[in-house]
Amino acid sequence: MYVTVYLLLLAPGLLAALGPALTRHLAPAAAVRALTALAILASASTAWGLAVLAIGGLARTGEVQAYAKSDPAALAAADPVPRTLGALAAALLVIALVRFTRAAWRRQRDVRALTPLRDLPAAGDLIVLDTENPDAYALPGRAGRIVVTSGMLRALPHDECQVMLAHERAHLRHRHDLYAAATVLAAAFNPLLGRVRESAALQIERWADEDAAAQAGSRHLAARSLARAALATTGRAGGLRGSLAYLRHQVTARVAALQAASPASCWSAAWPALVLVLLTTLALADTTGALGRFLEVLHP
Amino acid sequence: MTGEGRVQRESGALEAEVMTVLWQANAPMAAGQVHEAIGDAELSYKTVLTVLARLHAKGQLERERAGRAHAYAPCQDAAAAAAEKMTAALTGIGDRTAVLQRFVDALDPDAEAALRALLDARD
Repeated sequence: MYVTVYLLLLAPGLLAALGPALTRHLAPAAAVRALTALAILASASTAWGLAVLAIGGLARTGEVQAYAKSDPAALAAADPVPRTLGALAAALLVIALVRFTRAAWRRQRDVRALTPLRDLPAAGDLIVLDTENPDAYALPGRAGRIVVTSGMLRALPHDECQVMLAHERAHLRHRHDLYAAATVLAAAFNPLLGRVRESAALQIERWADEDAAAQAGSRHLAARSLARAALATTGRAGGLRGSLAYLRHQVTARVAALQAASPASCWSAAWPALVLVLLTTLALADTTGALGRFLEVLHP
Repeated sequence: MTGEGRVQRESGALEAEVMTVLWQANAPMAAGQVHEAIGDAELSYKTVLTVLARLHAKGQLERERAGRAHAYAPCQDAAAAAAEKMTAALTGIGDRTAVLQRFVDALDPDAEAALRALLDARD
């Protein structure tokens, strides 16, 4: 049993390493879905691996035995985990759950703070703010609202403005807020997934860029729109407060991608990740079966 | 924008586009000018007029008489109020990137020159 448990704990690190590499072989839409699935699988793997180790390691403690009253010989034969390892696993699991809960609570609080804003007067799906600072974003949730400042509208010529709106509408249409939430929460649970979260964030923008470019019929127009909007926001501190390091190169990557060839998915090149997903799933199943058998010994 | 994209536009997107045109202008515009600015052969003048009237009824646009027609402009008070509400809501938020899907988040200062070159090449 415990060999597969250690595989379960190794998997998140491997998935986190392979995930971002996938983006070289997959079109943005497929990459976002793949990265999100990897993040969820890696989190489940982490949670289950730690839980099983904790149960195995703490099974022989006095407190548990007072309740379970297992047969000592049978329990010893079931080869449980060393107690210190079990305690460490339990501690890590608690930390992961605390981080996850805090991130989930924070996201809920933020989404709730933004909810009343969808009732602001809108022209169709567009809410305009009379602000010089160029900014444009999609609100989370199903209400489908794009918020754009007058500064942004005035910074872009009409055709580039339409591309910008199409980009935001793509975010709404595909519910990118949910993919972002999943990767953020997964990275909160297991910090090794930080790069997966960042990679997914870029691919989400790439997905919206490609959608907008397709609708406009010109990837070059989309590249110009992005370049002009980015230059317009330079030096304006307001909207870019506390921007995270990984975001700083996002515009460069996006503009370069829009000037390059249209992306296509080559799933066959993604085989290492697919193999790892299969092995992780098998390890999850195997560990679950072994845990069931162990619990029977623990508390017959 | 290509013709196909235009035809598929829903009424909501048309309201947004009309609003965009009016904000981009420096002065109130009549329906004819808005229609011309959008520049879509498949879009009728009457449709633009209807959208303008609807937005005015919703309090999003102000209008003044300009000869026999009306000239429309965005109602800046409404937009300023919206800006205040948004600022208030955003100050309480921790990590904006986690809940907002922005068009542009940040710019690498080193990239500035390359981006300007891209724009200059075409303009």
